[in-house]
Amino acid sequence: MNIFILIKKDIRLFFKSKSAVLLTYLVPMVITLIFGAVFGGMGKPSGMNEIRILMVDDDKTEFSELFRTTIDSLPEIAVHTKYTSGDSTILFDIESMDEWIRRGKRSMGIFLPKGFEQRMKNGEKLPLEIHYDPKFAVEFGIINGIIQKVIMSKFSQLMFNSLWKKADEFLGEEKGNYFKSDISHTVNKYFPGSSNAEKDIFSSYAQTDNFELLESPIEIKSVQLLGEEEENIMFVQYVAGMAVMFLLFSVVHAGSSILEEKNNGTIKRLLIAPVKRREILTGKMLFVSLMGFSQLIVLFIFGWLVFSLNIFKDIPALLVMIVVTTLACSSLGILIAAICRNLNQVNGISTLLILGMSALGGSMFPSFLMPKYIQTIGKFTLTHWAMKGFTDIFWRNLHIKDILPSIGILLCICLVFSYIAIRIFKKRLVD
Amino acid sequence: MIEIKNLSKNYGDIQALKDVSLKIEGGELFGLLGPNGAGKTTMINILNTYLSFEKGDVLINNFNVREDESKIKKMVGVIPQEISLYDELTAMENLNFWGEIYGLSGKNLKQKCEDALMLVGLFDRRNNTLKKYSGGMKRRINIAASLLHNPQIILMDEPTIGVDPQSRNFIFEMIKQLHQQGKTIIYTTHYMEEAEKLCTKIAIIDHGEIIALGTKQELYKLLGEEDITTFKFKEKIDFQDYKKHLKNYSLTQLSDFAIQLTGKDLIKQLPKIIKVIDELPDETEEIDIIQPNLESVFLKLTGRELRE
Ligand SMILES: Nc1ncnc2c1ncn2[C@@H]1O[C@H](COP(=O)(O)OP(=O)(O)OP(=O)(O)O)[C@@H](O)[C@H]1O
Ligand SMILES: [Mg+2]
Repeated sequence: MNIFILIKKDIRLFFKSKSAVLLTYLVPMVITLIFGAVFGGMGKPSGMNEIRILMVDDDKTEFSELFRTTIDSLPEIAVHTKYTSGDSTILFDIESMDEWIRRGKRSMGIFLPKGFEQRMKNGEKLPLEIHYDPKFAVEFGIINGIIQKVIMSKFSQLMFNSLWKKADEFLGEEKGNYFKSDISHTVNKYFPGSSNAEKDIFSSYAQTDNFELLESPIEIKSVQLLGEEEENIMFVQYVAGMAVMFLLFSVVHAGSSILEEKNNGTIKRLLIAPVKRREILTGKMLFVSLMGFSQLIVLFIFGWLVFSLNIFKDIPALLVMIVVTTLACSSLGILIAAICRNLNQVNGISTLLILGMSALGGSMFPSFLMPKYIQTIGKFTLTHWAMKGFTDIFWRNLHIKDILPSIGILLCICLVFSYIAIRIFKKRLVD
Repeated sequence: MIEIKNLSKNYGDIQALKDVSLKIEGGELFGLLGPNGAGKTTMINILNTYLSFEKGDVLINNFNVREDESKIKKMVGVIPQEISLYDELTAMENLNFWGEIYGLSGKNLKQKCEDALMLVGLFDRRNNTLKKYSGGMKRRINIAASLLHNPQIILMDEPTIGVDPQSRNFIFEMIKQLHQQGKTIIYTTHYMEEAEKLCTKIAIIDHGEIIALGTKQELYKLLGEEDITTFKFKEKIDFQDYKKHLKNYSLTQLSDFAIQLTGKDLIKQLPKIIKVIDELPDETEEIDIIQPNLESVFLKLTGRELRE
């Protein structure tokens, strides 16, 4: 009963403070809008790591093998064709590859269908499928470009075959031969050591994306595996990212009201009145969580209204994620209030901590675009697990049972932080 | 009735209360008078069960503060020394909150809050946030917030600190009213005038010990039948000089500029004394014949002034 009275009072105080209300609801909306506008739903990657992709080779020919090793030898790409299950190593097939991508274990995979080599010999376009998670649209674009470029530069012979064939079709056999000898002549004249010359010509084509002039010899079919219906896929990043970051700010602010009440003597007065220490702490934690929960709900609805974020995709999963994220963040807010002696300390520590966690954990900028070691450090932040949970729901269409690890970790964070905070407050609630 | 038996309380090395024994009857307006750090707040917080203590027994209406915490908490109203309210809430909202905390609700709560606002004379300003209140007005709400549950025993810890004269009079009237209603009130202060003016019984506390206890008149008797006179001078004096020339009188130095004489029938001998003092080099500024008061009781008992 006392707990409800305490929460009611805290809510009343919260809504009396215009700055708290603005910081909780309005400021994050504005910042999200700005982020959304600046990046327009698509960030450009900087400083990429090696992209790990899967490959399924249904052709199983010398040429398809050569293609794989060539791609694999590039510094930007690592190709995996097998996975281990128990003791055995299994080659990917198209189903298992797609499953891996759906589960977010890899961002994309390449499928080489039967007849890959044969078509090369026929001088036909090479068939090739790239299956990818649209979350990694940026990476997909890069891989796509790299493959085009590789084929043009490393398999230039192939290019010529294709070109000759085209010329024959287009000009007829006779004129075609003319054209061929003409080209050969020119190439040999200006670029002695013709294979190199060819390479340069074609790689420069590739670099300038000048494909209309010289049609690509490869037919890449792209297969989006997830979130096909999602239009503004990157907005999840901004909506969830900003929501989690501002959640941290507002729970810290709400948690620090304990310090204010310590200062103005009301906590002592409550303890003198028939209120128990644990009622004060429970009330405070519930208030902070309640406020955080309302904030996330408001911001996701905002995301739905403004960025058409499909929040109805899996409502139970989203609600569970909102609840556990709120709990984890709230416990951090209370812990900071427990550790700090005054509001200045709270402001100093929390600003540093929140901005750091948000940057490392992927609130400000998508994790997958960061260097590997940053991603590793990021895993130690609460933000990372919150963001992972939300993006799993929105990007990968995963459900509660698939995001249990994130849920579990956030709950553990909540328990550990709350426990420490309560231990500290046992001694320090008044003095 | 409040009974305190051999109560001792330490904060680490600091002995805040030393073997204190007191009996306070129901309906008493009991003054606890003492300088800063004497142990007044400590005493109040032991009575309201907030603080634990090492030794002794404290009974309130036969309930033991160690065992019957929740019963006692409902029985007493505590007015804390510091203003302990929510500045951002209005007076009405503050009172509502504290009323709810003490278990009031609905119409009864509203009625009690309005009554309390009337009692402290701030009904008209009930919807202003406390931020807009003066210190004295906040003090009045600070008191009102502890009276909503109609406690039989009221513990007031220096409720007039930093208060303008108008609010102070208001608070005094309130306390008298509560006393007339038959409440038991413990009132701590370091203003001896307040204790003298208000209280039916007074304990003087110093360094954690009760050094005197009784009604005002009983305490004055501690001064004996002696008269007190103080002399203030325009410049610093040499106290030893005065001691030598006035060796037949009991003499204390109040400051570099003032001395005090006590003695039987002092007033009759005043002309003689003035003559002696006039012969000394310092120029006299003021001569006071002091009526007996708690200040002089304190001075006599401790050799120090109540207000340093
Ligand atoms: N929480 C505490 N920790 C350590 N020492 C304390 C604490 N509270 C009070 N004391 C010490 O105990 C003694 C009595 O303090 P108390 O607050 O009871 O005095 P007081 O009579 O109320 O003084 P004041 O008129 O200044 O309010 C003082 O010496 C004080 O320094
Ligand atoms: Mg005090």
